Amino acid sequence: MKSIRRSLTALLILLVIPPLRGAAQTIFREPLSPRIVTYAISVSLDPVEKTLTGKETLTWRNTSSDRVGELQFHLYLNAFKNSASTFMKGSRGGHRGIQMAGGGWGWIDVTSMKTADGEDLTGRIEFIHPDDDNDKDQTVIRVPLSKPVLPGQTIKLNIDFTAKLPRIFARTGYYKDYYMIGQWFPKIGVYEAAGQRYAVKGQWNCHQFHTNTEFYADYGVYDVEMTVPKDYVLGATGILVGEKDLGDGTKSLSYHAEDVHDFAWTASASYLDLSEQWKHVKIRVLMQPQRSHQAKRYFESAKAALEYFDRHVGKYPYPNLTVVDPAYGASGAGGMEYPTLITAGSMWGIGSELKFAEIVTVHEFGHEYWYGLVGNNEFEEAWLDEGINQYYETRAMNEVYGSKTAAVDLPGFTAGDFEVTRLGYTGMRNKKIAPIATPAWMFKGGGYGNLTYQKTAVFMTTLERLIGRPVMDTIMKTYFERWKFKHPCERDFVAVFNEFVPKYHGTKFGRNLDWFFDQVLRGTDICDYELTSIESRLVTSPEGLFDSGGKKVSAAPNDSARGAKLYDTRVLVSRLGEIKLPTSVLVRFENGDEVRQAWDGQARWVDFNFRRPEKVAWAMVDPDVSLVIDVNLNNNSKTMEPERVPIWKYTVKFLFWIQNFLSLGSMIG
Amino acid sequence: MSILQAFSTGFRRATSEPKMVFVLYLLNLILAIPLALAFRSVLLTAFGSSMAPAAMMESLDFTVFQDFMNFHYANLQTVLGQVLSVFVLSMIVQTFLAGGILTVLQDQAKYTSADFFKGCGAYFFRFFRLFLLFGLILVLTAVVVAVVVFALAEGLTENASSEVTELWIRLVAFVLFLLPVMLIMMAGDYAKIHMVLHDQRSAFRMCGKGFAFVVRRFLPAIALELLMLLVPVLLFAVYLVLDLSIGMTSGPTIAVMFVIQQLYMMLRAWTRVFFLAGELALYRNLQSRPFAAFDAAPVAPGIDKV
Repeated sequence: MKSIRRSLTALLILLVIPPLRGAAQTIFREPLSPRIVTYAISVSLDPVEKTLTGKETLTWRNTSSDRVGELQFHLYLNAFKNSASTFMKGSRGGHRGIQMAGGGWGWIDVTSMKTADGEDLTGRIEFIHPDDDNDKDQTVIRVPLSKPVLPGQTIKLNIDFTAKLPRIFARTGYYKDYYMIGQWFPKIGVYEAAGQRYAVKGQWNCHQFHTNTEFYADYGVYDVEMTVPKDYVLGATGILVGEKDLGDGTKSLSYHAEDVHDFAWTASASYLDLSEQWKHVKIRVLMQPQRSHQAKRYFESAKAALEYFDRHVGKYPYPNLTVVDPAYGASGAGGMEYPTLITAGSMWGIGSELKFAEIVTVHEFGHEYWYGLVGNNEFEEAWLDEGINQYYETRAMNEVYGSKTAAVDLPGFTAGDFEVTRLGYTGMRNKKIAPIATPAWMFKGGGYGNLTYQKTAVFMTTLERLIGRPVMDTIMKTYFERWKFKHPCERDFVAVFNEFVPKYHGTKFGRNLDWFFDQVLRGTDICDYELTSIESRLVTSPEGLFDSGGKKVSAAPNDSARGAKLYDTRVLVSRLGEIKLPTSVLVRFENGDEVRQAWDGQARWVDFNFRRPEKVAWAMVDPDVSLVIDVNLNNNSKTMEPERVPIWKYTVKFLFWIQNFLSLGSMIG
Repeated sequence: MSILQAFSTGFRRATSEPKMVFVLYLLNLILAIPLALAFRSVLLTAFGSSMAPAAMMESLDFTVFQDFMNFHYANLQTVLGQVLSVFVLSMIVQTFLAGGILTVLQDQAKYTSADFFKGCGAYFFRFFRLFLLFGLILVLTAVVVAVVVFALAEGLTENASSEVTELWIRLVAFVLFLLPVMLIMMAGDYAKIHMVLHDQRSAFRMCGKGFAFVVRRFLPAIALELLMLLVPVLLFAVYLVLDLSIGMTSGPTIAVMFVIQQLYMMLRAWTRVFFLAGELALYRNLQSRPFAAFDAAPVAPGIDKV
């Protein structure tokens, strides 16, 4: 009896005590990705010195057929080491409008690197600069190996590192007792075998950290044990598998993540830790206490995004999602994506009329698909995640919050998320500054955000409206399924369109869509169609002098037919831009009849002529507003009876506000 | 005389001069109309016979608006440049009108156009010199105060623990910035009043008198100003409610709102007279008493019983 009681007690203890690190725990029964890398990291945060001290065991598998004689690593934190780094030179000390605070430098040192059999590689570490000739940049290292890693073989390295976190202005670092820790550990690059993406021979793809660039890494498994002060709330990529009190005022938490290509974590003493469930996903919101009333907006938008992507793209495979609300003073950490963890951004007092919190949440969640699950190279082809994701953000936001109200919903002034996105492109001073298909660090003259995010979303929407949403969804679902947990490139993306569009539309759009992508992705031209003029003239008999019986007879014009007037209507449409897209023209006559004419959009101009008993009322090119890439939609229509009431409305409003403004003069005069 | 009495005197005097208020309103409208027509011309050029403006009827359609701005911003900028020019002209006109307003108000007589414009002419150059002097003081003070106050606020917000704290710091900074600006504008009004009542000519002396009055009679002067400020604030709140509830979504509602807007502007003109009349009443009363008498008055409930 006693032994039974003892056994029951032991069983109870086993059930109650949370599993400690080392307890075998898996998320997926079968690997979802190739799992080329495995990281086991133990790291300790010093909240006084703002430093990290870590031990990393990396296992890398050579999946190529090459003998790999060296390894390359990213040391991202060195971007913040001094003003001579490539990142800081490009950013001039700022990022997304936030300046780095004085003295907030950050860095990372690899203090030891050894192979599993004890060979010390530390002395062989060499900084390299594959993208520029900046010898002060220390964001990439190469490590020559004594013995190459043979095809199919793995190499295990034990790496010790110390890092000083920067004061947050660009994604990662600290602000007071708030920590958002991303790009923080020595991270191996991607070895691309010949034929993979653009590689003609096997090579490391390991770019320096630039102002505009983000990341690229192989999928794998992460086991990370983080030691932080005991009162800190911690969130991280993956799932919590163990927690222990170390008895010295600190605790360690172990997280396990599978089939991801990065690992980030956050810690703060002030977080409110909230959670809700959406189907199989536990949504955790780490909220700043003074903004706790905004948490429901995060939950609502995160659930809406999960629902939307699940329906229109594919299944979110992970069991959890953490939404981080950055601390006041650390807004530079906001609006960033990491596997299963996103940082959003809210502000006290900002009501739901301004949907910034929702937009950021939906956008960053979307990256779980376009970046997280489909792992394109963000350095070289940022549009493949940022642009596609921006497109899906606008779709989801418009569906959930309204196409005219998804960004701003104030009395008398509303704006949809797509409308704001489109402005990002159409409002550019120089829309031709670069093609979208430009490596992120090569947007030297500007336009990275406008072209990579906004123009891509605009051309994707244009394409969707041309080929139809069902076809678009089929294509994007296929692209997602084919390329999840892989590294696709532009060629792979276009190939899916070229495969499916002819299937659904035959040759309506040609044999393939290369002509479309050549213009919008690889070209810099703009699109602008104009309804130039409309007119209807009464058909009359010819007038003037006519030869008749050897004489010149004068003829006066007569109506076309007594009692049945006819009008010649001419609708002139012009192509003002260089981009050529198929469209149509809708002509409405006074009796309400409408005629729609297709136009291939190729010529500089085209006129449509009609002879009918009614005059034209109005005409419109692109009546379905499919070509949202058209930079001026206001010139797409003409009417015989222009609506002047709206003009009066704004004239009257303007008059009123000017009267008010002028009356301010009485305060001094 | 209590502050409430000065307030009610101002209210009565302004209300009893509808013709003068109408003249002020009319001049404001005359200055604004060419600008509104120029704006209308920009809209007509931009949209021509396009159907796009129809989408702007319900509310400001963001897409139509953004395409308009992308292609016609330069034209709009020209109009906005004209607005600034007319604003300068308007300040000079207001300077001109102030003499007329105070002439009518000081006489306690009914408005006549002849008296009004005679007063405008009589004080124009004197007021214009005051306008230049106070304009300079205002700009210099605003710049200095802005630099100091906002730099201080910036420093304080760096260590703020939340955006709520930051918001309060910035709000306090804004009030601290507004206070001297408001005092200078009040001093400007009292300088004009002194000039008219005592038929003075020196702008510098009157400037000193204006500041002396505001500083010495700070509490009643500021209390009256704040009390009177409630009137335009209330008027604007009423206007906003009407604007939001009526909207401008059809020809008739645009016409209705036009009438309401113009009534509102008449009331704005009325507030100009109201402010000067209230300040004149307070000035007359306080200047007729020795300064010590005010100082001796009880502070808390007696602020309005000087």
